[in-house]
Amino acid sequence: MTQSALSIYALNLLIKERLLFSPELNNIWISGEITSFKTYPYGGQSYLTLSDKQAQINCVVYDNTLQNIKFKPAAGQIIFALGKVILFPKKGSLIFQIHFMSTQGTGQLSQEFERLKEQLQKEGCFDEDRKKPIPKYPNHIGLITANNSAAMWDFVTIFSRLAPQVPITVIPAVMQGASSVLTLLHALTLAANHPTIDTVIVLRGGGAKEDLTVFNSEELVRAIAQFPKPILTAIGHEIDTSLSDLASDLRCPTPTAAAHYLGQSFYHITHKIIVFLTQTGPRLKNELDDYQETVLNSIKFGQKLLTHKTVLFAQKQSQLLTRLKQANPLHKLQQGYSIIRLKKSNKIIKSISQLQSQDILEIELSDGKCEAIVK
Amino acid sequence: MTLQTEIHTLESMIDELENPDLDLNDAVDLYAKAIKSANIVLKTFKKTEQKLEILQTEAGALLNQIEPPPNG
Repeated sequence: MTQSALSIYALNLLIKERLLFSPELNNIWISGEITSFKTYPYGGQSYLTLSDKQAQINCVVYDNTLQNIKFKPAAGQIIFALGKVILFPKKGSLIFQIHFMSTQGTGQLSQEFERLKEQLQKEGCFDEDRKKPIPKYPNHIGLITANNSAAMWDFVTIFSRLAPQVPITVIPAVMQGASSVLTLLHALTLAANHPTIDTVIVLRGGGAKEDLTVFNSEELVRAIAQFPKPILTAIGHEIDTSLSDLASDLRCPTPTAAAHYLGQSFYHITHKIIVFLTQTGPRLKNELDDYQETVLNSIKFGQKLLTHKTVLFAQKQSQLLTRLKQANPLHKLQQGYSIIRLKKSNKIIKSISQLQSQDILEIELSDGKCEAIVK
Repeated sequence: MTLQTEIHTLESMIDELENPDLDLNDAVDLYAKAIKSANIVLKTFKKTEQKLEILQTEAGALLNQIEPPPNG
């Protein structure tokens, strides 16, 4: 059994050979919309994806073929392409090699995009005056994106660096394919009902244009337009603008740009505070030193002033006490003076005219009294 | 009454006592008042001196805190 098994390479070679000799898959016309177109200047070839509503196929067209056609291929065009199906045995990938192509005008997907855009625009879904302002300092970010995706990490890494104190809650959603609209709508409902999330961002990294078509879904665009909290979108690359981008309150070109936009205010205020503290610290230190010097001098001056005043008061007090001692009315008696009173009236005799013969006088000396009669 | 006022009162009394025309009786009364006033002045001065001493100690401690002595 194992001896008859083919290697993968042998199998792929076999398929390639069958394809090569299969008339149904050689020189056939196919028709579809160009949903992506990339030219590699040094490779001499361009790669494009042709799609219709059910499927898509990768195609290659060489420069010599492009030189022979009368239009410049671009995404959104419906084309007819003549070519063959080939298989690259090493990778096992199938590709349609185009020998000739012609245009048939704007594709159905593009037409549908324009029709929906016009309708939603008329309804006011993209009006600037209904867009909510994005908080300068969000309290809690709700991040709707594919869990663990590169876009998620780009955002989380940069935002956490700028505003490490702001929590981010990732609300996972499928960001491409058939189930994506439902999961995105569910994620939006969770974010809207979350008690602390105050800013929501729908994030998806770059990808093929057809992978981003989910963000043109009418249901999703309406949900974003009617979302009750400030909502940002950062979907695909800078050149991709979806209807969800137009409906959101702010469109950021990339996840990185969204992280910078939401985190910049925190970064700037933190930076300002650091600069302020750095400059103010030494200034305050100088001011404090000056104050300390003033306080020191005031205390010293106060001490001197009080000492001086005390000395003055003491001197004054001593002077007054000396004067008081001298002003003692009895002091004069000790010096030999005496006080003479008329005994009958007890009046002090200051003049001879107050006296009559035989008047009895009372003489007060420093250590006692005696009486005398006037003659 | 402040020490200043008390001293001023005492001084006025002594001035009056030094007046040679003052009657002796009045002089004795005034002298008694002056002695009383001098006692108040002495007590107030003593209290003020004690307060000052406390303040000087506190100021010294504060100064040491702000500007410690070279060996401290």
